Amino acid sequence: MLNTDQHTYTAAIPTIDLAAPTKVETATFALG
Amino acid sequence: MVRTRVGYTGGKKLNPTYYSLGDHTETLQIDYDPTVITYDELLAIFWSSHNPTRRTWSQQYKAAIFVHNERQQRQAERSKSAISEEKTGRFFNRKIHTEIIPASTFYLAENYHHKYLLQHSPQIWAEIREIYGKPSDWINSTAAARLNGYVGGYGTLSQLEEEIKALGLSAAGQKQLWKLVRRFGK
Repeated sequence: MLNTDQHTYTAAIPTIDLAAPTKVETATFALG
Repeated sequence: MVRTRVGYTGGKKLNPTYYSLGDHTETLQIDYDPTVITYDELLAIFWSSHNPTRRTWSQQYKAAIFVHNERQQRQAERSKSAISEEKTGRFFNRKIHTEIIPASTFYLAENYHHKYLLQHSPQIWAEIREIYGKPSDWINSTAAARLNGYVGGYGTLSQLEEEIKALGLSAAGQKQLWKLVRRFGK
């Protein structure tokens, strides 16, 4: 998860990252 | 899609690496918002993205669904049966070699494997590196995942129009991204 509290970024964090939902599900695949 | 990561899972070796993979398999892990895309929709994309009738020839490159809970297990099994039972489908009555396996520890791949296409788009990649202080932040970033998809020809011009301002690029970076995406003509 992106840690927005401790960043030392030189440019602004993209707003799409800040808007990311906190409740997500995970899927894992191997395509061969 | 909230984030994507590549890594190694399914084996017993502790802390595998690309050059010392042990009994693990190369995998893609996706965090997604189920109110936007469902697991069944992801499964449909997965089945259409590989040939499940191809016999597995190595642990490293086998095709598999690593299920994280019983619901995913049921959905994965149902979708696997469906593709070999669909009379008009490519895989009707064929043996399906793609496995369904309970998810276990997922080890992140080395940094250079993540957002591979983005890492090879120099101008945009330079901006991403400037935005994020450390690799784990761009590996976990939604913006970096979306950008990686766009530079690979996934996503449409109208989707890009809708979200380009949220991806964190400068005006020059946005211009470069438009140029790359227009090549795919979608």
